[in-house]
Amino acid sequence: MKGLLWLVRKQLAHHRVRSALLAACLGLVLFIPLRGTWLVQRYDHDLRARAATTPLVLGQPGNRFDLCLGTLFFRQARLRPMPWSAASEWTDRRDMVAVPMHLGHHVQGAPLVGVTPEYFERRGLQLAAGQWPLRPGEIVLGATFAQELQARVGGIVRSDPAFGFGLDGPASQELRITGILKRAFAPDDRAALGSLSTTWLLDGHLHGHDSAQDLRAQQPDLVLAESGDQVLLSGAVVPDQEAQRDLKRLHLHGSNEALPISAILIWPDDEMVRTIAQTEVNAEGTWHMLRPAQVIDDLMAQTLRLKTLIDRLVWVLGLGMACLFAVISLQSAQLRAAELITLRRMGAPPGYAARLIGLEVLAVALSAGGLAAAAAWCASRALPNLVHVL
Amino acid sequence: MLRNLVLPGWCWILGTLMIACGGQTPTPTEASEPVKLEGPVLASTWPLASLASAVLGPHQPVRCLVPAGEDPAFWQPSDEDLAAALQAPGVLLNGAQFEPWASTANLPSSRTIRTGRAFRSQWIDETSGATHSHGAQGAHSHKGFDPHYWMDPLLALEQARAIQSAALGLGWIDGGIATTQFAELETRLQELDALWVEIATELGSQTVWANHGTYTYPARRHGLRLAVVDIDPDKSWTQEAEIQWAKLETKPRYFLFEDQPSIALQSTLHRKGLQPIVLRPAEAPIDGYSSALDVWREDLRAFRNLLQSPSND
Repeated sequence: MKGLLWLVRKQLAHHRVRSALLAACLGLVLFIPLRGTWLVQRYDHDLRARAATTPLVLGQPGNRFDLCLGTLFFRQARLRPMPWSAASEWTDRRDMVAVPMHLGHHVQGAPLVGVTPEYFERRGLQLAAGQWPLRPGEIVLGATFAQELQARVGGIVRSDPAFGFGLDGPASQELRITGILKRAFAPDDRAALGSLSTTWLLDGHLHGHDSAQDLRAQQPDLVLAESGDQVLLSGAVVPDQEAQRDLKRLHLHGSNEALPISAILIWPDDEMVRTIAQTEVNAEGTWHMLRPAQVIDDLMAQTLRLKTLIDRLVWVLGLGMACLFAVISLQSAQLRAAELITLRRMGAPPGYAARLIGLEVLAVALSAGGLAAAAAWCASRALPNLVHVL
Repeated sequence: MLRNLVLPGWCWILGTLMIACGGQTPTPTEASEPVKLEGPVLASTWPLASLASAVLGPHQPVRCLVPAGEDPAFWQPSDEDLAAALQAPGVLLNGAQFEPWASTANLPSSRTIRTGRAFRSQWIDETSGATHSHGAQGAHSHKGFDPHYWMDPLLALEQARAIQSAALGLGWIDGGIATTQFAELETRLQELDALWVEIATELGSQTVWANHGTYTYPARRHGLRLAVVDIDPDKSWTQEAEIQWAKLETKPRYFLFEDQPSIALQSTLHRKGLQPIVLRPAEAPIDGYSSALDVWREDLRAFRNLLQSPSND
């Protein structure tokens, strides 16, 4: 046996380029399903873990995947807004905790999510430094985002313009970082979180500017009309862009009740409350209430169907590769016929040549497996989490 | 013989153990331990803090956010106050924009109780927004809804009901204590309402002047004829007031003030035969009183006594 292994080693070393190429080709064929399985397993785990900690989501009727992935993973989704008045029906209930949230804004490319303080409690988020946001214009940063930004407590970041470079949209705002969260291994790590009033500030619903009296005295061209104690100001009035520095100037136009929110996350006290709430809401039809776990099940079922198809294709590819490998091995055996005859004449026992070739094939296959596993491990370190990318 | 005794013996032992392990359930009549809250319940105004203290009883701490001498409509909470609100078991708000800071502060929505919401249909819409001033807060105008509904004891009772409902729902008190405490508070508020009834009866069809729209809710309930004449109690008689006074054929006899008017104003009022009456809304804590309910009762009793005194005829 020792002699056999020595001969295998010598043979592979002698044809090192051919052996390496064979191992790499086979490794690649093994790598794809291996990596695919790991990737899907991790995706599945991460999605389900997040969904499992969010019993219900309420939003406008529409694409349930958008609603679910938007509210749970802060995915860019154009969710139709709900009025704030719709939230009070849920936040006032004592048999559940409802967390209204407002999505759609960004800070330095990361999502800025407006939530009520219960969000931090329900998600178990903790501060690594600083304090929770208390007023409009204050935010806390997730651990990964803070690290990428090299942000510190007390620092200022500017929000991304809500409408790109359009001049007619609300101006971007300076936002004060009041705290940095501990790593939660969740989408919150890559986000900025603030109060709902912060997102309303970025929407332009809440803003600060000089008083109408001051504008009338100093820039009368900005006053379009006056009637009694009503003053109509021009759209050219520039609102404060550092609103949090002078909160007394902040004011809302219109009714508080009409302010927009994207969705409401709901944590009911028990299963009965959850079932009744979901049934009533969906039967009534104005809003749509869904269980994220069910939506993720459906999403994963789709993903797994696709993965099964890809796996089958990979197996066909693998079969082709195996055939090619067999042909190469047979050709190699034919080329080595003289060598194998010499071995038999030298007294090698019957079947020695077959074992030699078999061991060579096994060695290449094992090397390919090792390469595939190593490549899959490296890829898992290097490639981003699918939950953040997809 | 011995075998026959084994089974009943085991049954007896098991039965004894079950009883010893606490098979008994507490009866409703048993006194329960008061619930221990982690921190005080926060109230945005003194009336709310007083109602909450009455509802929750002496064991549950309640903290009035607005300090003595401040006007809740202008007061701004500090970072410490807002941080305390995040940790508090509950935050009680009056609503109707009486706490403008609350519309932008990051408050926990599930523990924030807007005590006036349940009777929103009864809110009075202040369509006129004349600019005026009182105290050191500068000029302002009122538009939207009148937030002084606690001045009507029966609406204050509704606010207390909202507090009680939240207290039970959020587990601040147990049901037995809640019922007892609420019954006591209801009696006190009905006493205040009875005082308003007596005052309204004594006044009859007389018009009463008020320096602020604070009394519109009890006036509406009891049919008081109230005219609001904006005069800052700290300042003197105004030209606008003089014009209004001159226009009247039947002069009013009583002028309601939120606070004691200045000496100069008092002397003007006396010259005109106007009796200043102080009915304090007690929006912020007042030294010497433990509850806003005591302030309201004292003021209403004084007014009622004045109206019923023989010298008043």
